[in-house]
Amino acid sequence: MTKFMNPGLMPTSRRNVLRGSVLAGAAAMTGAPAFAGQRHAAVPKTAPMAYFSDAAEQQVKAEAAPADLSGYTRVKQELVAPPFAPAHEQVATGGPKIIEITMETEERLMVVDEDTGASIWAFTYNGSVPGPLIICHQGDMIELTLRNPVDSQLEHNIDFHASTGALGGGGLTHVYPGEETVLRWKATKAGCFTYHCAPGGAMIPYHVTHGMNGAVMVLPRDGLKDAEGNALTYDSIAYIGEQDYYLPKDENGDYRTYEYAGDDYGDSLDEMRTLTPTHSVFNGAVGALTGEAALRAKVGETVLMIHNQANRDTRPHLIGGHGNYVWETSFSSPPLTDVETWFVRGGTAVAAMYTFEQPGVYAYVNHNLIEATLLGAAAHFVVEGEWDNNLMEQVVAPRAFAT
Amino acid sequence: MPWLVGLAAVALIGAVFLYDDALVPTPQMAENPVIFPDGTALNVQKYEVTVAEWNVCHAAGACTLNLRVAKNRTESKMPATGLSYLDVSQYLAWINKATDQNFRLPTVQEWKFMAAEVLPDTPDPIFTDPQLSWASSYLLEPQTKRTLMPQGTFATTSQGIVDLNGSVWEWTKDCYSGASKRTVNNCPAYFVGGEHIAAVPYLVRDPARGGCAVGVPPAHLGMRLVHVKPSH
Repeated sequence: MTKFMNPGLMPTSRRNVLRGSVLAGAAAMTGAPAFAGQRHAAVPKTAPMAYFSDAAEQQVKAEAAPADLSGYTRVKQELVAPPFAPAHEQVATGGPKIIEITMETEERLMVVDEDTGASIWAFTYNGSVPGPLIICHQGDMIELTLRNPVDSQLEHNIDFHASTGALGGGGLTHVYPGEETVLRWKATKAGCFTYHCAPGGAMIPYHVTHGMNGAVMVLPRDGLKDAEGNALTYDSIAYIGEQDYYLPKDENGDYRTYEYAGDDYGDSLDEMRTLTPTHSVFNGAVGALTGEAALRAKVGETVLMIHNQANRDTRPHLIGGHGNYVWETSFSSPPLTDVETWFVRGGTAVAAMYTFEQPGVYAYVNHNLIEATLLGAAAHFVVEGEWDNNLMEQVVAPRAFAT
Repeated sequence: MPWLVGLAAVALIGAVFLYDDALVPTPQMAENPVIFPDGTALNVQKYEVTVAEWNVCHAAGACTLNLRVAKNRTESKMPATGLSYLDVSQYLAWINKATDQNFRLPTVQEWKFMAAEVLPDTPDPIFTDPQLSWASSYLLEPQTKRTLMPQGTFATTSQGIVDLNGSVWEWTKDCYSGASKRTVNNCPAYFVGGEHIAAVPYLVRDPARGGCAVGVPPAHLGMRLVHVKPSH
């Protein structure tokens, strides 16, 4: 399952240095950027003097009352890569669950736009941008094993917006290369929520804009409902993560390339400071959800589109369709209905439900159309079925008119 | 208009023209002409016009764009891209003045014919309902050739024409004026030849992906010259 694609596995001195910078340390805890100012060329070649003590010794002595896990059933959820959703129930059966999931913080070199060759050392959960969609029901607990592969360059952690306490779990999940941690949290609020890496300070947006974010959907136990309380069900989920990238360029205007994950840190921060992304893409790369990878549906099918943006506002629009029901905030409020364009506050995941009525090709875009066409924020649905002339008909095909 | 003044200075010296004190590279044509079913012959430039060739035009003041290549690339080996129909027209006017020849762009039919042997089969339309003709050409096939590569990376035809199936789509001289196919003086779009035929507005230099446009647009826009083989 783990794909060790990182050539940084080899130079041990380099890894040791990074490992040693943990001493700077606690950096992550205090919010100071651990590697600020460090550039590849400036990295000293000496080995660290000492390492932090074992994780076991860091274990805080428990004083709070132990969690009451009685009545919970343990289940495993197999996470899958976007745009797909893990197997799940829309209406919960049985009592509350403890849902066990595993995620690996994989650093991997990904092509962002094959036209220009623009690439990034992405930070990922399980190798994908966005990270996998996690689904549970209100009242369930998520028990995450977070594992940082031994060949990683950087520390990683995770902040679940759906959770309560300890910076969304961020304060309890810092894992350095070769470490793993287990976090259990209770899904008390129903809705779609972002999760993202948040190691501290400038490392937070650095990791988030390198792809390290995803979404959790916490369904009401009795499923989705309209304002009148009628059940709303879907046939499929399209899970779309919108990612703003700020890729450094050289003096010629060409995108820079880097040998190791993390080498772009200083350049990236300069680029991020402009607040102007070089790319805004769906599912990691320009065109990742078009052509052969276009989303598929049939007329009459209902799709739940989950849109995650961990860093920046966006406004999805389905060209040729609508959002029949849109939950912009939580599932606790009634959904907006018959929406043309919905709003995703930066740091939010949103669910929009639509039932296709016409076949053809639909573009699903960030309706800042500059971002959709020039920065890459577009996906396509290819929908099969029978055309309905009652809904639309080309009465006169384009023809020359007399002048 | 420097070329009008300097025209008299143009002289053939070996394989290059001396023009306005600048060396004008003679377009290198493919080893063999393309012979069409009706017996007519067409000389076709072996490679797409390169960045180096393009920049001679720019240096002469006749082409607006000054092109550059990425650090690890060579100007004489990279196709000139990011060209609109207007840009291409500038180059054509200049090269014909500078070399006193009659280069032009190919027609769509000429382009399709010369490229047929290296192009993949046209995929079946994904919709057959006439009401869905607007969406029927959507490509669900994998597209593997979008990265800009040096000349010679892709296939060579039996006439010796290189890279017709590459990541650069080439402007043709044929206008696309809409479904009614009427003749217009102010042509809004021209066909470009590549892995598939596409119509591109004359102003476009970079056919960005995404948005409302259905289908997968060309990756890069460039050009290739042709001229009718002189009769002997």
